[in-house]
Amino acid sequence: MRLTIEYWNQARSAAGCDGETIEIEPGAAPVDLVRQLATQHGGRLRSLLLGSNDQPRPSTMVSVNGELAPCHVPRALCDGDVVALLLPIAGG
Amino acid sequence: MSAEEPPDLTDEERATYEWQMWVEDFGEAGQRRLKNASVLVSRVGGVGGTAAYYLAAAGIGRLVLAHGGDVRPSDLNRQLLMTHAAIGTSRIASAEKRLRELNPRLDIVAVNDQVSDANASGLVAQCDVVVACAPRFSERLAMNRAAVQQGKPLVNCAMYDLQGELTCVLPGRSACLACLTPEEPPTWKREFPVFGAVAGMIGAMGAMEAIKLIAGIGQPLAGRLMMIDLRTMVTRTMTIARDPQCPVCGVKAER
Ligand SMILES: [Zn+2]
Repeated sequence: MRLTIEYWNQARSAAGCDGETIEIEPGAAPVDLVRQLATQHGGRLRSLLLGSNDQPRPSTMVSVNGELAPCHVPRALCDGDVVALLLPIAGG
Repeated sequence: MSAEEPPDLTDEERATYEWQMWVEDFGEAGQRRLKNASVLVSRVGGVGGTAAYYLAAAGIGRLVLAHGGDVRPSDLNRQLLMTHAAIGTSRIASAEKRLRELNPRLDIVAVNDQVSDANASGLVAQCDVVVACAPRFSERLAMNRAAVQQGKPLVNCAMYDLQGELTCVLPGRSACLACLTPEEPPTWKREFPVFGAVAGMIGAMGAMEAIKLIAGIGQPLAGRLMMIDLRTMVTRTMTIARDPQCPVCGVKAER
């Protein structure tokens, strides 16, 4: 299935783009998407999204069609979903 | 927002706030509520300094401000309450001076320290609304915990690069900061790219959220998080649900 991805915060410069369209296996959850994007991009995005155990960091947040939650909250992604990736920021 | 009837305005206050009292659902009643209200802002750098400045301009009765350290040259691209002449001297003293120049009627509680688990509940106890603007999650989470425990609304204003983030916590009614970020995230670095105009924009929005909460006007960003990117001029507003397992506001949270 096809998803529209938007990158926010540090993920945007690490991905090198504001967003993209990607293909992912049907039935994938947000945490699977995070793992796939980290693997596809590698480099800085991978080290932002995956911890030292190579698992998605729980601090990464995913918005699915405007509903934001930590990436480990299980949700079914559907073809055509707009998914935004956010990392926590605290610039003050 | 203490329980007693908000105080009357003086002639000087009526003259000063005349133009904002023309906002129809705000009016003189809203101005009296601001005069009666106390807001905690921490820290008062690029984001919080702007929030505090606009709250002072709007005629808030009291500001409780916490910010430690001395002014450095690298503060001055964004921390508009700090001045060149104040380099090497206390940031909180510089902030207090600038705010008093703008509004000599303002009552200021100036704390020469960052917010921590040790002082958060005492600081939050002195205010009606919290505006969280600190560059460390530990400080924001300490304010969030105290605000939720004391049932005080919290406005969270943050930025990174050319992006700003805003949300509002109504304890017991909407998601708190820990529902999304319960602990210090390893990807956040204390030093971050920042233009003053980006920090100031999100600080001004945070001040308006606090004014709305105090005056009871508009719809605060409770249960919602707004992102704004000044590189592309795109904004997104997303909903956030409360996490029943949240260590701060969830069913299992220790009270
Ligand atoms: Zn919570």
